[in-house]
Amino acid sequence: MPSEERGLVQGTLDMLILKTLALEPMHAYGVGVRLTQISRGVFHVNGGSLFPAFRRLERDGLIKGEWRASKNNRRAKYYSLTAQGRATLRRQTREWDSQATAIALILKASPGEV
Amino acid sequence: MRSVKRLVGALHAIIHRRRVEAELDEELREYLAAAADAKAATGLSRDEARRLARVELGSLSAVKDWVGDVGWESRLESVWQDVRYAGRMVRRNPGFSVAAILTLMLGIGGNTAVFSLLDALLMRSLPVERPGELVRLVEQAPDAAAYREAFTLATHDALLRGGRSLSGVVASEALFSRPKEIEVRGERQRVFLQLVSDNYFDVLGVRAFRGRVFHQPGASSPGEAIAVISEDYWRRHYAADLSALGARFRFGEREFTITGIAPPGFRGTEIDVPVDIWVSVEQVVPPGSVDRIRGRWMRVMGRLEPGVTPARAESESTAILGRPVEFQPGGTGYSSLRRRLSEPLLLVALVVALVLLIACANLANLMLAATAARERELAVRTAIGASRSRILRQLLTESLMLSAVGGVLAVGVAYWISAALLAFLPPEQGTALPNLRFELNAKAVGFAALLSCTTCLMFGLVPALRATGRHGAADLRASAAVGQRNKSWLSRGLVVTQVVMCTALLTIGGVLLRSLQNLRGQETGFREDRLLVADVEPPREYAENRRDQLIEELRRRAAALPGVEIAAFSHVGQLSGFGLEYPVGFPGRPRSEHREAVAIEQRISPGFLTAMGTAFLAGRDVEPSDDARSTPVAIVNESFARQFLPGRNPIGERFFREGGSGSGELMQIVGVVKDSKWLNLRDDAPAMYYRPYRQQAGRAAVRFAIRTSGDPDAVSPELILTAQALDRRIMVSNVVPFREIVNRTLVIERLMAQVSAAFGVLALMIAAVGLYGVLAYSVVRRRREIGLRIAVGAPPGAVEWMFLRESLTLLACGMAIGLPAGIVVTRFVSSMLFGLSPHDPASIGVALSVLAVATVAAAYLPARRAAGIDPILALREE
Repeated sequence: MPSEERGLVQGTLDMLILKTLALEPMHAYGVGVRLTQISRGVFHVNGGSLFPAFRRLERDGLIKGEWRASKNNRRAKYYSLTAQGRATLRRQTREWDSQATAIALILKASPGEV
Repeated sequence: MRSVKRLVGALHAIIHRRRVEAELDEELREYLAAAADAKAATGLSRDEARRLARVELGSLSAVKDWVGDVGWESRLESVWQDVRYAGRMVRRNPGFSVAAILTLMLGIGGNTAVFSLLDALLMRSLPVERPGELVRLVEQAPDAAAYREAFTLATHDALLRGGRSLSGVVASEALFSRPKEIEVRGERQRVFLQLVSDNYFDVLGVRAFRGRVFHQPGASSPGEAIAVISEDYWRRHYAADLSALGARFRFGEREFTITGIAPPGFRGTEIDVPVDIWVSVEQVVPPGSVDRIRGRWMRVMGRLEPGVTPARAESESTAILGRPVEFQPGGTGYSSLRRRLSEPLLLVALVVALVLLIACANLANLMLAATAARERELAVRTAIGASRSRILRQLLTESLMLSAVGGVLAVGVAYWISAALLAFLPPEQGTALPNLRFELNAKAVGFAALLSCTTCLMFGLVPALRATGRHGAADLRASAAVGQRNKSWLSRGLVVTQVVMCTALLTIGGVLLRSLQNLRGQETGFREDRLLVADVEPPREYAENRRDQLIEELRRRAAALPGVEIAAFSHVGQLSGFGLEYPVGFPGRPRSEHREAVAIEQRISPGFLTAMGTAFLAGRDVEPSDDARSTPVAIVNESFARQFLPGRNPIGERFFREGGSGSGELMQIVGVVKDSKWLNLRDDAPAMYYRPYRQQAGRAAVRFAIRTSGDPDAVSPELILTAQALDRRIMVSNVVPFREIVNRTLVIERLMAQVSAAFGVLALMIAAVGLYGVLAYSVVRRRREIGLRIAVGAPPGAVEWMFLRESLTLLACGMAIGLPAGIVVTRFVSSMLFGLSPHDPASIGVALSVLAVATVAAAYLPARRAAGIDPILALREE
């Protein structure tokens, strides 16, 4: 597995893809561009990571792919969330929020608080 | 749910592999195009944009691999990878691989062959309805160890009438390997025809495959003269043509019509003699016939009512018959071979199992050495991220590959070994072959597969665990010294185990060979060289005295043949396994005293005893003048004289036999001969008396005994031609040198001795080659150390001795354990031995010395090589 994505916490790529696709169905390249855009250039996700992730999510039934004409008149595989994918995204977002809060609390803790 | 979906997805991916890949290709192309578009939009040239996009994505095939790694279809893929890799390793090490596959092939093949024989003989159920309910009626014979399975028809009738715990009782004729004659359109055929009770098919639950079978007749419907043929006979004689139904044949006095064909695979309840034709016994022996109460020639088999125990049926039947009887499980049918062969076959099973264990220990040891040699490779693989389980799997795949190839070949070898084992069966038992022959059925294949997997684990698991464990070969940090020590202990342990098992095997082979030798070398009372025998049967339809004349005339002509010294005959063949036993009595002695006094009667022609080489101790031979008109005479053997006339001169004494025609007629003893083994070579010669053929004639067939001046085989064609010239209808069969008959009685002994000796030698070879391999490898590994020793002044002899000493120590350890183990194991065969104790020092001594020689031979070459190491070269390496 390539692991060149800088700073991307392991296991979170799937969640980010789900979130991106929750906004609108998109093809692989689009997802990569969107992730970079939304993260304001922090995450650069390469195809080498995206494609296995798509395959994994598709296999687990969280997203489904469909060939459609893209904007510039080419065919592209557009991925969209399934109902199960939506549910998983909600659950993962909740978990992430609580974990992130907890981690942030720990990291901000000062000697006085303990 | 998810796992199901994954499974479906994975299966989909595997099945539609090509389409999935094409789709991924297209998607990647699109991705690159989109990326290139985006880059071109920032002002780069088209080509530059495309190049950058490719660079960012990296190697296309790598991406595809990563995608492919998702899901368990990639597991399969990696298994395939393992297999390919294993195949490469197997090919890279052809010597080891071929040796491993060959030993596994022989080991698994031998076990599979013996298993399938044991299955056919002991375990396979008859193809009838609910065979578990069937029970065989047996009766304790006077001889405590023996059971009688033969009864009169009346016994069957009584149980049929009175029994309540049996839902059905069938009688079937006890068949011997002698076929019967039937007449089909005037032409005589020899077939295995069995008389059975008319409820036979109903009680067994066997329905006709074509046509109809016979049933128990009702009060109104009388039984019919119909016959059922086996499917096999239908194929052989009627080429599976339905015109067979309705065909007629003559058997004895009656005409029968074939009305039915039994289902394929059903060959009757006699395992030794597959039946061709079934006929209802009611048609041949009608109710009220004297043959219903006379002669024990029927087997009785019952079917227990559901829920009834054999014990209850036993007590009920005992009450009905008025004498104690027992029921034994009958679902596997009747077989005298089962009694004779099961114990020897179990021993053979033990032997082949030991061989397989030796092969496993040996392979484990070689694997240990081989994986240690791959230390660097495994360590590198670990270092670049392969997990322990991944490497374990890889190593086990290699073992599995070897054992799988060995297992597949083993099935072929099993055919061959099974045929070789069955070739020991004497021709008269050949009828059982169709039931015993190796069949490629699910059981046999399953057994071979199971053995392959088990052996794979046995020889592959420990070395693989060792290689991947802490300090194992796969651990780069492992200190060579620590790993080495553990490994060599294990390896030594395996060598010792092999020595132990080889000792046991060779000892068994040794005692069995020696006991065969004893049987062959003993004083038998006959001389088997230059002796030809032949069964002679004049046509049955001739009158009795015409038959006698024919036999006498053939004897006279045979005696005149060139190369014949004496031609004589007896009415039962010596060592044919049969003898007519009669109670004997003496005038003036109370009867009760001699209740158990029995002797074997033998009717002979003049010259028979001389032809057989049985020496006279006193008196005279029977003479042509001893005929029906003269005084009945007899010649007795030493045992007879010792048992019945102790301390007296037997000549002139008189005795009579009870039972049979001429019961109570007094015979005068005119001669005494030495004892001669009659029934078999193992038992002591029984008490016997010989009497002139002319004074008690009336046998249908005789066995000729012809003493020749040269090779007996040279006379046999002449004998057959002479008989043909005399009367074309005389049947002359089994024309063989007497030596052949002697050998046939030793079938079991020869089988056991030769099989265990052959497998013993095989095991020894496996172990020796293995030891050689392990030592040779250890010499290579310790090259530097040896070089150093030589460099600091160790003489080559000392180095050589160092290696030999190690092997000898292992040998001594193995023998120390193997000796008592061998004694325990041979105790298991003690009942099969003859003329020696299970711990026969000579056999054990020979076994141990053979083992010692093989060990030294295996160790010598590597030791020599070690001594020949050039210290400078060895130390300069690395």
